[in-house]
Amino acid sequence: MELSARGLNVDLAGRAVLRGVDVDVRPGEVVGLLGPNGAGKSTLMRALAGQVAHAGTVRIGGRDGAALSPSERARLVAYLPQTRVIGWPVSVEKAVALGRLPWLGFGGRPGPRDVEICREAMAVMDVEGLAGRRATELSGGEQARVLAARAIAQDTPMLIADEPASGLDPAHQIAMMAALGTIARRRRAILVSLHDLTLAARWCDRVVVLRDGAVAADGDPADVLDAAMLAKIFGIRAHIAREDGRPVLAPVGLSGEAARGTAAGEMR
Amino acid sequence: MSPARLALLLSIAVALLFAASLLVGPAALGLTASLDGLLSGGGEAAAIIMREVRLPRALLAALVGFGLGLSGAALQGFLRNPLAEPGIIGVSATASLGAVIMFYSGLAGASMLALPAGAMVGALVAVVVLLAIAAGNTTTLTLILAGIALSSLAGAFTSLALNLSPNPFASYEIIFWLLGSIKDRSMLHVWISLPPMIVGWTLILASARALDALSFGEEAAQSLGIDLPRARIMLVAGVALAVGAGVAVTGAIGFVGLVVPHLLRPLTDRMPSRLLLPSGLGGAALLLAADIAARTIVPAKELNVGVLTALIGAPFFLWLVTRSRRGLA
Repeated sequence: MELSARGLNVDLAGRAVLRGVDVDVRPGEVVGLLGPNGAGKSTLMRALAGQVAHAGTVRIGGRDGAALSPSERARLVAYLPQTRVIGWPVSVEKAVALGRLPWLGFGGRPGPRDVEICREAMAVMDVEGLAGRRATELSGGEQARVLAARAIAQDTPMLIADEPASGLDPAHQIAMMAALGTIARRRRAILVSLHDLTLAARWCDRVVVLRDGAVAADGDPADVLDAAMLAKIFGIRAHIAREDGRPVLAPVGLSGEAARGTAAGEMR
Repeated sequence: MSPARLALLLSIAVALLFAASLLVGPAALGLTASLDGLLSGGGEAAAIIMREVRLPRALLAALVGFGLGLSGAALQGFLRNPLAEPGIIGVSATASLGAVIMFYSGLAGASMLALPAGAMVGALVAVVVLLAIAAGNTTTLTLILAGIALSSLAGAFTSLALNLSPNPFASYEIIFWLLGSIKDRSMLHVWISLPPMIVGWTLILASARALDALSFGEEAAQSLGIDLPRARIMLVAGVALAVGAGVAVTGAIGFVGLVVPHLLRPLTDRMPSRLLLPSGLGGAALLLAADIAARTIVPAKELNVGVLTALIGAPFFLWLVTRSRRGLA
């Protein structure tokens, strides 16, 4: 099922955060959402997840997003927020099992299929070994993986993950992206926001770059992530190498324009 | 401990304390005389004491305690904050103010129903204000701040009533009522407070799923299919009805709604939904026990149960908090 937005506009506190954004995420693909801080990545994700008032259309699996009930939406789209909240010292197992909530009837108990899906989600996120631990007592990276497992256990055709890799060690960052790829191959549509451009280039089938609330680029990472783009959108200079045809980016400094700005700031 | 076992143990505790509450009192009735009075009418005096004095008292302690424990657990879950207690949404204060106005105007002396009616109206005012806020485009924080503002305002008006009180006796009556007591209540008090309490409990118990989902933040809860505005309305209305109806007949009774969820949370898997029923039962047991103690601790002088719960509850809470810094939850 496809997740798409057309002409998406969002105003927050009188400020236009998104301006006419078009985006498509098709089944089987991992789409990376990139852009500097404040570009509107999280707002776009929240709008797609039906959590922020917007103008324009959001279509979820071909249906009008605005017409979906909260429980219908929860069976179509899982959303992993950037802010990681674990309110009570529940066990990791219970935390992940909460992902099945949209699929249980009122007061319903999880069946063997629910248990199996949770077990798989925990395996994918490498948190099986933590099953009995209290989620509040884990490290930040471990908590991130537990919450990601919760979203994966929701087992929806579409998944929106806001910076799931931030705070993870390099091995688990790669494991996280590989896991999203594995899930996408089951005909799932995945939208993931990232700050690590190399991670995006390596693991995303397509990248959408936002700047000032508008789409600045949308395409194959190998085409999109070039020196001009990095300088213009991100304000950085980077060495760009290739590995398996995909760009590997090593930022070495600020781009000319940004560097001059910083220098001017220092002089003041 | 398994949820069923915990609920069973607490139910047994409530049943035992309920029986004890029926058997304890200044009139020295034997066990058989008590049962006789309760069930078959027995001797005239025994029947009156059992049916019109002790039974409503025990019932109200159990019902109000249940509502306080349940509301405390629900609000702590809702706010992901172990320091939340039923009074935080302002309903206790406005219900108290409603009762105080009845004292002040002298209507309290005119009819036995005036006090609970005034308190119910007071609680209702808070409910309407909170629901108007909850129904709008708001955050949970706004809702709580509104509750605090309501509390302060109601407290200010209560102080004003005391300030302008026509005579010292009226002030004394107001202060005494504010201390919270289940003394000298009748079955009528039970009947008028029971329906709103049941509606309140139902609303709270129906929000159990939302409470679990909210453990992981409002965004995560929404992504799990929780209709957040609806959940807010259900919880606020549920707590307001359960607590407001209680305060209307007993006055404000503190600390039950704060301490009981704390005490029982470690015995559950910590999911807010699993704490609701045990916390309600625990609240009933605690208030029954406190009321029995209030009647028996000081010979020939009855204490106000609200004073007693605060007196025991506050130091106990302090101990609970300091015992394990991380054990708050």
